[in-house]
Amino acid sequence: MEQYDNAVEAVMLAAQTILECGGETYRAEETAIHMGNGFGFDKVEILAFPTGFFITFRLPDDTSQSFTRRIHKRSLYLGDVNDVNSVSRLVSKRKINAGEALERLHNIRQKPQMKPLQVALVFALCCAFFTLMFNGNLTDMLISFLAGFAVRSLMPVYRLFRIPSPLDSLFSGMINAAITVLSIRLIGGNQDAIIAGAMMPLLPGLAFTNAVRDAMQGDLVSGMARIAEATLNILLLGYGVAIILSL
Amino acid sequence: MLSLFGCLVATICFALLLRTPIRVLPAVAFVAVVGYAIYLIMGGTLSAYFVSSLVIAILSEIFARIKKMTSALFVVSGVIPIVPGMLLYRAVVLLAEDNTAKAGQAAIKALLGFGAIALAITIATAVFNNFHPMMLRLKSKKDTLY
Repeated sequence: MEQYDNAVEAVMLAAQTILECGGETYRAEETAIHMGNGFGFDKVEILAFPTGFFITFRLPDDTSQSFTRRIHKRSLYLGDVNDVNSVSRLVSKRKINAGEALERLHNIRQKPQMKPLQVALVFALCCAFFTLMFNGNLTDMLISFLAGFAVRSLMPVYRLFRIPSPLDSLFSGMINAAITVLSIRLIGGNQDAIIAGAMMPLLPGLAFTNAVRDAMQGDLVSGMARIAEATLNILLLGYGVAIILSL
Repeated sequence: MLSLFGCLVATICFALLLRTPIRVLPAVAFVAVVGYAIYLIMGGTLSAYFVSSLVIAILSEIFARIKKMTSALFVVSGVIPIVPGMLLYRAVVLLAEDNTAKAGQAAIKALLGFGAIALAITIATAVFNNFHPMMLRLKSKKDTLY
């Protein structure tokens, strides 16, 4: 039994990372099955949802092992999904063994990331240039940069107070609108371009796409769950902006 | 021209937030700018959403094959400039002004835009994913690819 421990853990870690980093459900399932075959299990059955997965391994000695793993945090790090995919390709071509695969997966999960301040700066730049895209001028870009910076740098604070993550969108919308309205009172500017620009990086374009892809693949449960999540995000973001604008 | 430049830099920043590997950033930016240009030329109708995201998805699949990465990396960042953020914002403003009827119109337009984008991407990926292994089977018999 022990010789399979690494292989089992590697397969599960791969599926877990894909789901946590915003990959599609069918991608997690396919990756687990391909990796399982690569490690030489007779059969691997997996049923994955955006919030967790069940997996059963049929071992060569005719016994089975089943596991359940819950996914608690969901984020959007497609680069990591891509890295997991390349590990799983190597495994299914039988180029690396279970130990190496496990080590590489651990490296992917622990590789050094951008500091929160850097993330906030990049996010703010993103907002500023979306404002430019919506025909804003230099002042608009500056305000949008400020709004984006405030929105993103406050996100870790919500976690500190254990505010449920769907409410992020609501607060983000409110902060975005509040800063914009205040700055326009002070120095003037194009409100449309600023608020819309700073809203762009928060819109769940990916979530919607993934949801429809999941639904088309036949993963109806995941598809509907993701559509509900995306709709909730859009609604809350809109509410946040609307509350401040209607003051 | 200026808005295309804005689209370019914004997409690169967005891709960085998704932890996209730096060596594929030029390709991502190219996909996004081409898609947004098509969207602008077609004038923001429903078919503009559909056609431009179809082009984005096809370009992304091609780049994904060339760079040997998942196409999602290219699609997601490439499609972000087209996502109907402005429409959604208009809906919200109208809602705040108590103009419910017009707000509803804008919101439905935004939702249709989201739907058109998602459908176009799904169609392109489905076609490519089923097409590619067939072509490969001619060369090598058993090589798992997904």
